[in-house]
Amino acid sequence: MEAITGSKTGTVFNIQRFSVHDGPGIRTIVFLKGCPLRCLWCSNPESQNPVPTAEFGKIMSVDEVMRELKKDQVHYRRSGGGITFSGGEPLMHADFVTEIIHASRSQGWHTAMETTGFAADAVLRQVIPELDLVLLDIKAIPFSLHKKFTGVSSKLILQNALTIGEMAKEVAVRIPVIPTFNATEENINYICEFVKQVKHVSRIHLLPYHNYGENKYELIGMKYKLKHLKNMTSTDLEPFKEIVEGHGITCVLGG
Amino acid sequence: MLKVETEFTEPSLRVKALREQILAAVPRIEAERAVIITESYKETEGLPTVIRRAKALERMLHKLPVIIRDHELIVGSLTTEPRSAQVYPEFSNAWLREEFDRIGNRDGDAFQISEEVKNRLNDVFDYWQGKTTSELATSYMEEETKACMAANVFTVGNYYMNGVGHIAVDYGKILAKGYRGVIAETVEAMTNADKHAPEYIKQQQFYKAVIISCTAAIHFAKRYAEKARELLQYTTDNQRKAELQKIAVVCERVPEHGATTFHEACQAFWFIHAIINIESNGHSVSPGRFDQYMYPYYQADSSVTREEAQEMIDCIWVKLNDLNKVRDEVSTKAFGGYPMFQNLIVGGQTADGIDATNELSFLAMQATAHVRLSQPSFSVRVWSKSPDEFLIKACELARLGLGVPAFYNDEVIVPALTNRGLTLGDARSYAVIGCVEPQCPGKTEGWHDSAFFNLPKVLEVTMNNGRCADKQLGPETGEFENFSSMEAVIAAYRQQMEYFVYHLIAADNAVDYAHAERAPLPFLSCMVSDCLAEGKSLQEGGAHYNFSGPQGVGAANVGDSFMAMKKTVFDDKVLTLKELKAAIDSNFYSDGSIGAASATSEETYDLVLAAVKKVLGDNASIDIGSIADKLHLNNGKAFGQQTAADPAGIREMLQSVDKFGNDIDEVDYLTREGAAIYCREVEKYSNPRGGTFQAGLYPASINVLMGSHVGATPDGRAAFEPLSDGVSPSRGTDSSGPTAATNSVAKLDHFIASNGTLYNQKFHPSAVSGDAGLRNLASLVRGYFDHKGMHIQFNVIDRNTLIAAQKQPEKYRDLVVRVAGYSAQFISLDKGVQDDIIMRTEHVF
Repeated sequence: MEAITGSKTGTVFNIQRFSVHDGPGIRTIVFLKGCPLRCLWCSNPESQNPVPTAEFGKIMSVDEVMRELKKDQVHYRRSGGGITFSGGEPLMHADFVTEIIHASRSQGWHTAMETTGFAADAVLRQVIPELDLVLLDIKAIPFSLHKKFTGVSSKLILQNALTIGEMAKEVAVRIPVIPTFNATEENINYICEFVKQVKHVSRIHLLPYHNYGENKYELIGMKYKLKHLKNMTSTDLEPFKEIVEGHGITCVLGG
Repeated sequence: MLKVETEFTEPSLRVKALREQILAAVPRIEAERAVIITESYKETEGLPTVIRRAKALERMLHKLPVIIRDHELIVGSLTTEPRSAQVYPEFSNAWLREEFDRIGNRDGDAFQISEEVKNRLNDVFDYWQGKTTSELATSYMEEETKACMAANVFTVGNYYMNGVGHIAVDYGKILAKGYRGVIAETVEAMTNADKHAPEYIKQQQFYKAVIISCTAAIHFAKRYAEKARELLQYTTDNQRKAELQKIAVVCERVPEHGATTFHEACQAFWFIHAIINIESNGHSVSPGRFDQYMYPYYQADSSVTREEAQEMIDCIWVKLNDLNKVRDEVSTKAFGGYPMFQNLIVGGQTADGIDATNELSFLAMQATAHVRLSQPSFSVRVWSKSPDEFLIKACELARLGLGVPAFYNDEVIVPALTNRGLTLGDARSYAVIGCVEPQCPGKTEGWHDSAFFNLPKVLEVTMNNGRCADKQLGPETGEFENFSSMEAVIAAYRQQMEYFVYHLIAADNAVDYAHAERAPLPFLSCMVSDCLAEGKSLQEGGAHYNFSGPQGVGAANVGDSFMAMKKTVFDDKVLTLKELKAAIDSNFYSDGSIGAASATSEETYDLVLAAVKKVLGDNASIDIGSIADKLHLNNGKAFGQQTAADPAGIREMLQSVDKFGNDIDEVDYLTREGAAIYCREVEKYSNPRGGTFQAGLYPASINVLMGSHVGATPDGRAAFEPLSDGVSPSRGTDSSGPTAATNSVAKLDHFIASNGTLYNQKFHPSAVSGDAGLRNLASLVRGYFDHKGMHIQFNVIDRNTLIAAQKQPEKYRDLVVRVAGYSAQFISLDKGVQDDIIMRTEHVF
């Protein structure tokens, strides 16, 4: 293992403690700024631009982040929890994240990452084997549909998903279920068929669409294009859950 | 992973019916006890006080009506109607007479009172003129002490107005040998006493008083046996007949003799508990370690099934809700929601340091889930060896949203008590009294709720060079604007603290002497060692351990205020002390809040009036309706202050400074210091019973009332708003999540606040749902305790439910919430307290 200097920096836009929905136990989430995707429903639009602005994002060193993470180490220990990276897309900060993972693992903490899977192969090979859990978004299979709603084709993501499955200890696939985009039997079936090819997948999470991010769009002068959509509830997802289970895959509603 | 949720069962039909009786009951005031004690006192003038007390109790136990309610298995009532209250005129009574005509419809804790009861009580009260403990205590107090109380720096109201209570007796001893055994023990002590010692004269009287009391207790139970036999004749239902027969047999046997079955143990427990509450109205009479002293009877009784035992425990839980207490109107603000604070605790360790969790610990949790009423104040002890299964079950109970159990940390409390002189074995045997106060049961007269002390008030007085409302109340410690450093401010605060704590102690000890002289309690005393060995009542210092515990309230406001001063004035220099003080004196120039507050607080009204007089001159009459307008016109100048800074901006600036509860060392340690200055001052003193003072940090619900006596504070809190509760962060300021908040709270010195600390945390139900939620809640408790927190309790109810209950109380009469060290029926609380609970930070994820 390389020596940790603690001086590497990354752009962090939030550190949230006592997160209980993004991996086992009590966790702290480090949100990193910058994302290659532009999902129309994104609930953290302020995290998309990788450059820190006056209101959003702060350049932090590994040491600074670790100081914050250590504050809840007793709770990680007691709950079997740890840390989760989210974003934005944490893989855009591969070196920074790798150092934090190393430092966290030497404390015995569980490490997880939420990712879009949109990254260079070399980056995956650097980061993924270090993690205990990968929370991988798979939003849709058809390339053009994916591009229409997220700004990028699903091609690279699907290719990477297979690679991630090869290297990861555990993968939990997450599907944000968005009406007018992927909330159809057909789409969910496609995803399940694909997921069966990915190794080490423990479960699929179905996340109901919500518009909690909408206000933020106006605040930062962006347009929210899904205004016409209604929030979904877990009940709305029951039929999709049956489909997933029909494929022999464990399904969880929500985080 | 295995599923950890096990879910609670439904109670039996009987328990449902008994519970419904309590929910449907309208609290009333009954006169019998007051009449009987007065008759007795008129006959015993000239006898030693302790004998008079015993004879009065004897008469009560012979004459109080014997009531067996429908469906009851465990019997013994203090009042004819459920949830009603007797009157204890020997402690104080003038306030009750004064409140006769409005007590039936006051804001919180209303009691109905009939004209007949009023008339009977009027006659009684005349007799007690000049004879109460309260009047004697007042005569012992210096003028300066009274001035401090009048200025609302502290209140000793609890024991000043009422009995002391706050005790866990040795229930196990009575279960084992009965009052016949106690009488034998007393006779033996009497025989062995040194008859040549001068104390013997008084000891003899005490022993006689104990024998009279215990004999009367036995008689009381026999009256219930007789009543059961009488009811038998009118009962046609065969099942009820069998039950009444059983009740008669059990009451013939206990508490005269030791219990031989689980049923007898339950019934004996209840008689002990009920009679303690007849002898005195001190609240917080706490059953303590119920799972420990009851277990031998459960284990040895092969005839009782688990279901039957469960139902009997459930019945006891309901009975604990049958007791009630009338308090004066001001005290109901401090203790809102008809609380009796009967703390019952399970789990923990034995005196030998072995895990004590047993089957009854779990049945007790089940009973709490079955009964879902505010009593008992249910608690669990947690230590490193508590089984996870026990902690998880306790969290499942917490998740029901009743505010119970409260979780206590052995790893802090045991050393905190040994630091106060308890042996290791006694410390390990602790139970919790009332809200959060640990003591060794059966050996302690803890006086745990001896006072509430307003910490931010001392800060306010410090900022005014010892003045309060233009009078010199404390010492002169320097004008605020002349302080040159934060250290100088804190030094002045410490000096003021010395003065006010001195008077706090003086007030407490005056009340203490009054109880020793006028209200020694022989019945209670015979169940606490070393009273029998010493031949002395508890009130005269007969207990093995003696303490007095006054509580500091508003620690977070002081810490946050220190931090705000340090940051804005001394570090960043964006404000001068003069500007800060001007903003505070004018309540941040917010006329609206002055206008609104004037309707609720007399003192505010006076302040406003004084301010207006300054502006308008001393007009003979002032139209109060125009005051708000005048204040508005004159803005801050109404208080003779002016500043160049933007007043609204100042408040925002102060509010934006780091606050306690977010795991930020600087402000957390300033809060620790603000609280510790109080605690260290308190522990310098002794009480008349030969014990020491020990501070606690918890508020019951008095933080709302105390806040109404404190102007704006430098933490940005507006004038007259509630203070922070217990050791919790100020409401709404802990915005970094529950782990950050618990970490902050754990940075206080919980060991030195050995009379108890109280931390309320509120969760939205979604944050703790499912199996994972349960595990996480359990982990949070373990994590907080690893950090050496002493106590934590949860409110798991969403805000909307509380708001809905405020609007439609009739639909939510069984909604029980955590207030502070206790739970109460939400709808019975005063609106101010309801609002305070709604405003506490709710953690949602």
